[in-house]
Amino acid sequence: MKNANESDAAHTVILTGPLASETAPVLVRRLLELGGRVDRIMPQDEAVCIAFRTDVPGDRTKIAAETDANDTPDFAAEKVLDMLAATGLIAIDLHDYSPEEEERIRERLANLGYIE
Amino acid sequence: MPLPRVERVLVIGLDCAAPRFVFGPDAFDLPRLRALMSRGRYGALRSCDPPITVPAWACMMSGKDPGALGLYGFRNRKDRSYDALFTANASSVHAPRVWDILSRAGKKVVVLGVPQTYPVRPVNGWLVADFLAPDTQAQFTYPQSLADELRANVGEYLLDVEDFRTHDKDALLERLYALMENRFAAARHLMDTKPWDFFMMVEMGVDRLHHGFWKYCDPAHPLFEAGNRYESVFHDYYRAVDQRIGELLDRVGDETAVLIVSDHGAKAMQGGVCINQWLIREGLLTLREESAGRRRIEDCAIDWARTKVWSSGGYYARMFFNVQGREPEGVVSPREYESFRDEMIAKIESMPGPDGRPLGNRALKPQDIYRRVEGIAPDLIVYLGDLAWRSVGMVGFDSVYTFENDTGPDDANHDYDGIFILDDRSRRSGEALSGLRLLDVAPTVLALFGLEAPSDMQGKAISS
Repeated sequence: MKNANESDAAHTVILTGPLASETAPVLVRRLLELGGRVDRIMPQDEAVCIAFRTDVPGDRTKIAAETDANDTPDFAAEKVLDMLAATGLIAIDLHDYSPEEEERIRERLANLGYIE
Repeated sequence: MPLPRVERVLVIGLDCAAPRFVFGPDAFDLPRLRALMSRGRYGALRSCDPPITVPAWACMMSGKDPGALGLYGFRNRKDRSYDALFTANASSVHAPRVWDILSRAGKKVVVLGVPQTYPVRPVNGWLVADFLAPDTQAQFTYPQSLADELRANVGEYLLDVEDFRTHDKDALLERLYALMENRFAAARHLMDTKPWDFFMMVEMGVDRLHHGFWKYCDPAHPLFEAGNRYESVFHDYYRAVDQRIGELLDRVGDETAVLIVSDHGAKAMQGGVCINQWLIREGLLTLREESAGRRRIEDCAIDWARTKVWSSGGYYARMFFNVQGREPEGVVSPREYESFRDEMIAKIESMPGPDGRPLGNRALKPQDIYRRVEGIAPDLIVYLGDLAWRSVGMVGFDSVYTFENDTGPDDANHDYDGIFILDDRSRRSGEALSGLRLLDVAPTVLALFGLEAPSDMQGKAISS
């Protein structure tokens, strides 16, 4: 049974450039971490195509991303995620403190003298 | 003369390192730093206002002042309510820092222990977060796999020194050295195994050392006793740091420019001003009931209808006005706001010390010192005794002045000037510079890579 919010559209990222094959598995892992569902990973000549879905309703989107030889695969994947976030397909939430962590940090800062 | 273009830049940050111990009148014998100075340039680096770790490192590496960043300390007001605060970690820094800009320019970066890097954000390289990470179970590295790599190669990463407020100084000193050795071991591992263009680390131990041991080392401290057993700990620790810096310098070649910087300096703390106690005495702050014993102001019931000003404690005082239409139960009329603020400045700056002579306070309006004021700034930034006195926010004291610290020993306060040493490899024969500002560091790093600083950076690259 399909989730009511689930989009039928399978979006596609086409990775090209010198780091495409190394970036693809990192990007797939990050998409899964961010709640996406990866349908297919298709090597095509010098490129890698990744088809995925998210819970965000909308039209099918195709994004082409050329990787840069100067980037690490992790950073290259993050750049693609930034592009996806800019289109609204995914949301990248930075982890922030839980209330318990916030209190622990407050105590640490007080202990160090920065605050009371 | 413009800066030469280099292939790599190494930045070593020593939190709180003081000019007097590096190239000032009490300079220690630090052969590796001395060698950098003798073939490079150096000088005092004026910190931001306030000269506090947060926001200073973020200002240094973004080229923006605290007003532009909207960060005025570790804890900031979230809104105009009286109690909502947030901790200024990486999520609060909305300006790109040097490593973000370099990442986007395709440079490989290593960032190790720089304040306000937790929660970690992706970089084109490797990042290890600072002491604002809750613990090492949280994701404190980027990429995440780097955490296991560090554990396997240098042991458990130490975020900071534990039990800092102890009276057991031998144990504290041991932990300070452990922290420093751990940080430099991580740096050596990263330097040896990662193909970096920009490498930056911050060693926090110098700051903790100053706060924990100043009274033992500085004859100007009121509690200094000549011949005490810790009298040489500053010298010994700075020497050890110099040696560890040397081990990093031995790993880089002439293609690498080297910067040694600190975010602020330090000075002897003469005592504490119980700032809220003073506001109560002046009739500007009213509690619903007298405090039985010492309590944090945050834990007191404040009679807001009869309160015009309250303040927070720390190395400086942040004063907040209770303004009508701005705070929930404001009493200061917006029409009288500026005249009231001027009155407060006059009152603060004429505050006498315990000996009856002026304490030498400085009170600053954020709007006067920042290009713009984002977020919720204090209405006044107050340096007590020109930073020789700490701001004690707790209430329940018999006097406005205290020479003890409820949270345990702390002998030093922050000072305006940190250190700046640059060896850009062009052999400049030890030129002493003046007028250096924290905000000049980021444009300088970018210039060394041949990159122009973004137009909204407030500093400028140094030149001859």
